[in-house]
Amino acid sequence: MSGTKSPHGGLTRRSFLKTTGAAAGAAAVLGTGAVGLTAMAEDASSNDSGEKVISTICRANCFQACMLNAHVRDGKVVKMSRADYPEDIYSGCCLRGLAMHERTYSDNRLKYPLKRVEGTERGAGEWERISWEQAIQEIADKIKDIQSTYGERAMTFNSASGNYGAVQGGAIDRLAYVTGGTAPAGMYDFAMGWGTNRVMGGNVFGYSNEPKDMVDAQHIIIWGTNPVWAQPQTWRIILAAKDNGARLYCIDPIRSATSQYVDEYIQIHCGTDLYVTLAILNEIVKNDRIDVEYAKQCTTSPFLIREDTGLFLRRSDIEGGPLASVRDSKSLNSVGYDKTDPVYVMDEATGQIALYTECEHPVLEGEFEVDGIRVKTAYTALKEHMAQYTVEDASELSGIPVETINKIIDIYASGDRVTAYTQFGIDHYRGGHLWGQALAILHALTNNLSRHGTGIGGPGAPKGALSPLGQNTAMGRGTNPIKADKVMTSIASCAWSEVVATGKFRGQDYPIKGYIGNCDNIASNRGGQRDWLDKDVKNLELIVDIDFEMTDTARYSDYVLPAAFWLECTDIRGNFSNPYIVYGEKCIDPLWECKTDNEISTLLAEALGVGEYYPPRTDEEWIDICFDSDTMRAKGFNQERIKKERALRCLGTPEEPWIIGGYGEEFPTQSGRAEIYNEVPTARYDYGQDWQSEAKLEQFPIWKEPYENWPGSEAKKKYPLSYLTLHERGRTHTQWFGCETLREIDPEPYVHVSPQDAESRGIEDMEIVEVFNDRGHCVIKAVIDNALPEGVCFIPKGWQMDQFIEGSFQEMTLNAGDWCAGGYVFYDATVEIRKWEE
Amino acid sequence: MTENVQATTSPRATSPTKSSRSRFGGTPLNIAIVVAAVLTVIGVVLWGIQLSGGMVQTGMRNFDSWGLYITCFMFLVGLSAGGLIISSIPCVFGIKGFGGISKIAVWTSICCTVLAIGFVVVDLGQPLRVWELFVYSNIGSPLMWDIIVLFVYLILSIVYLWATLRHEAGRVSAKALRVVSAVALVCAVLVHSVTAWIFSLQQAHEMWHTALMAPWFVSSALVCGTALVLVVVIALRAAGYLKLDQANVVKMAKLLGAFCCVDLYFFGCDLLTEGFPAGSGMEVVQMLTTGALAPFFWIEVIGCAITAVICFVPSLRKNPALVIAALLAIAGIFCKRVQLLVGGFQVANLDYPSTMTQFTITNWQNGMAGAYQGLVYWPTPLEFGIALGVIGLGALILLLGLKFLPLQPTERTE
Amino acid sequence: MRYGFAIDTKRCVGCHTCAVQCRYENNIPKETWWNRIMTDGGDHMDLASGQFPNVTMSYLPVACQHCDNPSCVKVCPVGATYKDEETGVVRQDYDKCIGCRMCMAACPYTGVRSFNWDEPKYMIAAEFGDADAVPHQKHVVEKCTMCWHRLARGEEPACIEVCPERARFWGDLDDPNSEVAQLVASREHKQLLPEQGTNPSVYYLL
Repeated sequence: MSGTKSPHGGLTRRSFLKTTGAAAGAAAVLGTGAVGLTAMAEDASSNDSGEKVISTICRANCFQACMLNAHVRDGKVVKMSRADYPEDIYSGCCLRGLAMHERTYSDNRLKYPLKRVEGTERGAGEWERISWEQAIQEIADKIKDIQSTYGERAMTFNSASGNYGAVQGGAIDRLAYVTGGTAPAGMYDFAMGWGTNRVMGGNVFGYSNEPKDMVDAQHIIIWGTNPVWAQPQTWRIILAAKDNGARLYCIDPIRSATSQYVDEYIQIHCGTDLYVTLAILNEIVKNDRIDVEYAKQCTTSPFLIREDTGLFLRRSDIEGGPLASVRDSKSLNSVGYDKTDPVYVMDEATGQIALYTECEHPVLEGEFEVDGIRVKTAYTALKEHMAQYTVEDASELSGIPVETINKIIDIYASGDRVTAYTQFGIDHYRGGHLWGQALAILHALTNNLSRHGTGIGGPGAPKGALSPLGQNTAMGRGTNPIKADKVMTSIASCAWSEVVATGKFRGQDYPIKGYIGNCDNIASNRGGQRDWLDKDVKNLELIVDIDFEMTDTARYSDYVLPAAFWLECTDIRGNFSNPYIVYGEKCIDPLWECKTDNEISTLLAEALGVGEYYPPRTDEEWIDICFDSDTMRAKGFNQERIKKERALRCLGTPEEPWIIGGYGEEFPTQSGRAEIYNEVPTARYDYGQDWQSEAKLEQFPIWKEPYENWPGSEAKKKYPLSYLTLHERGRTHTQWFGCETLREIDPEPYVHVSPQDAESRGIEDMEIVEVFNDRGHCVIKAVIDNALPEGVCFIPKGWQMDQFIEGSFQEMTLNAGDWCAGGYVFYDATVEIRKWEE
Repeated sequence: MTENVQATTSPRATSPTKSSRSRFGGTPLNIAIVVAAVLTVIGVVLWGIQLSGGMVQTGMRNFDSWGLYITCFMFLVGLSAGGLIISSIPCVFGIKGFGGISKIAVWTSICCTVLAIGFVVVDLGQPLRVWELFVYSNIGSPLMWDIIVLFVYLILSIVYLWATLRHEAGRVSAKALRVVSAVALVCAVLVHSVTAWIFSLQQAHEMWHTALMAPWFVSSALVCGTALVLVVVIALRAAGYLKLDQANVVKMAKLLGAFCCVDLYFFGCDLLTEGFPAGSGMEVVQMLTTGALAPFFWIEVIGCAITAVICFVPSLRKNPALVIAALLAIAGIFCKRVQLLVGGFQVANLDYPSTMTQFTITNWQNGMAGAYQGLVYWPTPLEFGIALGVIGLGALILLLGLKFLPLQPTERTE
Repeated sequence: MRYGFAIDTKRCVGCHTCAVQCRYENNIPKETWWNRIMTDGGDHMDLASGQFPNVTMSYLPVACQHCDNPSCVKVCPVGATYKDEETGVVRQDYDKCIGCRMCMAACPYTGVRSFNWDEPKYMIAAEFGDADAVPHQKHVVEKCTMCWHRLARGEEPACIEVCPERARFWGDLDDPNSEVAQLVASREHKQLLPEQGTNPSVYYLL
């Protein structure tokens, strides 16, 4: 695509040089700038030996996972360049990965262990450089002190996604399993998958087919995401689909960059995607514009639902046995839902019920009475349930014209191959999981899940490429998790601050007094930053952060430990946007006094007196442990091989990309089918919230109002502007926030305001304004952005507090999630903006 | 023009008396020389600061890569050429002159030429590589042409001055002097045309790319050159350095008025040509008349118009008013130079927002829109300081000439 | 031979990857960009123009256009900027440049030439970047070299391989079989500021 590898067409380098020799030779006498091609070429050959090129990988929590070459000269990584996957379509890089060496050598790096100067407040920015010995000893002493006074769980251990290396990334979480502690449950981006999981299985990130399969799509609906800015490597695949003739659509509240590259832009009001999808689903089923045969064979549409219990009619209902009557839709007990107790369908041929596993031609629709039990098919129930969601209502709520919604319906009903490409735009609202659920059902019924070129595109294929890395539980819990029973993992991170502040969890005393995290930057990545500043920072007795740079979290810590950066340690990572696991080789020794997360956790374990259960291991030893699983062995994967091949395909083949439920395989659900009816809906986390009241209504997808950001919201009466925090190119979450080269391109944050909202508030372009709501504020320059409709504003995410005039982008968001989905609702917020006067 | 000259009564300046000679010079001149020398030294020091600390200390940046220095260069080439043209025309065409002021005029021209060269030198990033101009000369470059013409011109001016002096001493014939003056005149016209071509041959800048530029530069040169000579002469007369018949002053004033009209006419032609198609040239017209450069535009236009009025209306043509008129004309032409230089950069060909750093453009912080909101360029104090230093050098040479060279009119001057 | 670029504006997403790699490959001093991504849209980068929802935005990566008829070459008084006759690459000799900035004034493509207004300050240090990249000097003009040092090694310019959308193409425009020549021949395209008569060797595919 980008041209032949030889830039000289048919000429070899030698003959090329011959032809240019005379002129270039003459030029060579003029100074360095004027060295001719020949002279340069001769010079260059002497350089060949001096530089080592090491293939490694970018380890940010980015769906792109680019392989990159580090060019090492005189012991320094002097530049990065693109390295190639075995398949060209997955090979690429972006400005961030190419800046990896700059970040490595940057003055912004944390270089030495730092301790907050005694007597200064957290966040005051006064640091004392201390030795590793002192740092480890003092931190260990304080942890021991906290755990002996308040119990093991008073200490919080948190690893997040700032380093996708399997070895380094989870180092602090592992430590918790030898000391005991609280490990807050992550809530980033889980809602969408919690919904699709109800239909397609595969757990929270299991819904996407291999991205490369999109090239066969005929229609790609890019829904609530902006790949042109945020996923450039996946956009390359979408462009390939376009080259193949796919039509591209973009559904977004704002005229995103992506919307400029598609065939059709469809504007939607914030927070109404769910309603529109419900209406589409209604129309599709109302008029039976589904793939009937597929619905009968591969979905649970013909499954019979009991009218009395709302549960499926199963073999045990008719034949009795130990599995009879154990399920209970009221208490949402889901025990026993298994193929061992199959569901009945109505056999078209016999007019009698038959187990779905045995019936070739089930009836799709109808109500029946079986042994005195009134039943109806799931499809019939779905039709009845969906009838309340009309296109007209959807149009009114969403602002999408009825004709346009009908057009989307026609696309789905056409039999063409449709991919809905999405990430977490809609995930970030309350009810995001229901959108995932509705979309998955829509795709299932129109046979758009398992054919080539169909599916719900998103965070790639982690099921295959990420989970193998966790097959050996030692990667998450260490090899000897002596305190596993003392590790508390069910406090969702949104509830954690409340526990810290009140000392109570679910009504019980639950003191949390300490926090240690690595690659997390919890202060900036979690919604509602004031919680960190006002609750956590004020109440915790110990805050320790392990990071590369002075993040918001590090800034408010007592101890900051400098972690080795990606180029300074060997690791392996699994990917989202392609099916490979990749070897990330260490290119240089850790700079300054930095140590790997692995080593830091080991030092802490030793100082905490649990060293024998958490012995020092090299990164290579950990990688061996990582490969030590049946899954890996079955694939013939090991360290030696990945070191040699650099990237190993974990699922699918280059010829047959991985597709969920494709190639005649079953879906990874209980029934093996796409499940349109969720017998016993549950919540992802139970942290004391009343999730049952909501879950019991979610057997089929329902309309659930977002908390704040939707047209009918109460919050909008006080804070009328929808507030989004979008991904830009210059940062991945909060990483690269301080990268100087990228900051030259993009030097400071702006709040983007629509022309109408700016005018009505008297705000001029580049004027300083305050963005605020009850939770917090942010003082920032405003730019007037024509791509925004009236009533929507956004601040690109990832900037750190000191980059704003006051406050930060994350203060106005909610530190909360949907009760069932357990995912943060970053976009479900509203604000007001006014001129800043001070 | 010719009519004006002929209509004026024959001026014949008498040789200055001993008393008047004694009134000029002395302590005030010495003080002036010292002041000029100090300015020069300060300028040199500041130049050293500019070179060692980097030109980042100036207001110039990638999008507006020339500034005050090149403005002054343009302006001073004009002053210099204008002065020489005024003084040599009478000689060349054998007509009555302006009462023996030609030596002063030529000396002023020489000083201005030195100044102009000085401004080019302080603008260079690598002044130590100036020798390359002579070794690696790219004869195709208008800048090279200008450098050649400027040096020829400087030498010719000196020869012309020398020839005038020798002529006065009876060593050079009037004919020879006339030949020298004719060559000098051609060169003066050329030097300013070539300076114009540095700009006008660049298609890159809408405002610069006009065939009118060269003649217009000459007319502007005549305006400010005449005005400068007028001011210097009146000042020197007041200072007692020379005596000059008022008729000569009036003659020069009428010429100045005429030159102003020609210059304004050219401006009018240019604006009309730029603006009439209502294409991209309209942007230039708007920028000048109502945009960022409007103050400079209106000072020039109104200044030159007032000058013309003062010069043409006999009742207004009194000395203080004439000095004001001449100064207005000089200021007007300087404003013209500012318009040309800054105006050339004020309209970006690719005005799309992009990565901006402190090296991109002078006012870079608020993006492209912010950078072009007002004047795209404004000099820093350092540039003003260095410019003042260069001017100090010119003044020093001028004053030294007045002190040590026999520049007063003599019997044979005309 | 006439080396040149074709940039597919339908594929370019304005991600700055080429610009950033240009920076690192050549270890270009801080605050200096040889390759800049321009937004054809609103008043600031990445903003659209027009009225919602009918707004437009696209991107133009702009570096030295390596013109066939370069106006910078003509005006340089010492020949420090010159066209390599073999390859058509417009080159800049830092050792020769006297810093008069005539070329900057003459170049119609705003901002592709940059002057080192200060002692070069490096993002990491002077020894970073490609080993063969030419060191930078204070008070001289510099610009895109088309990665001359890479061409000499038989490689493509650094901006080509890193483009995530495969929007950049490079090759010999005079060779009808080259990818660039064929793209220019088969696709609708534009050159920047054609009225300037410079005949740039950078073609923007539309």
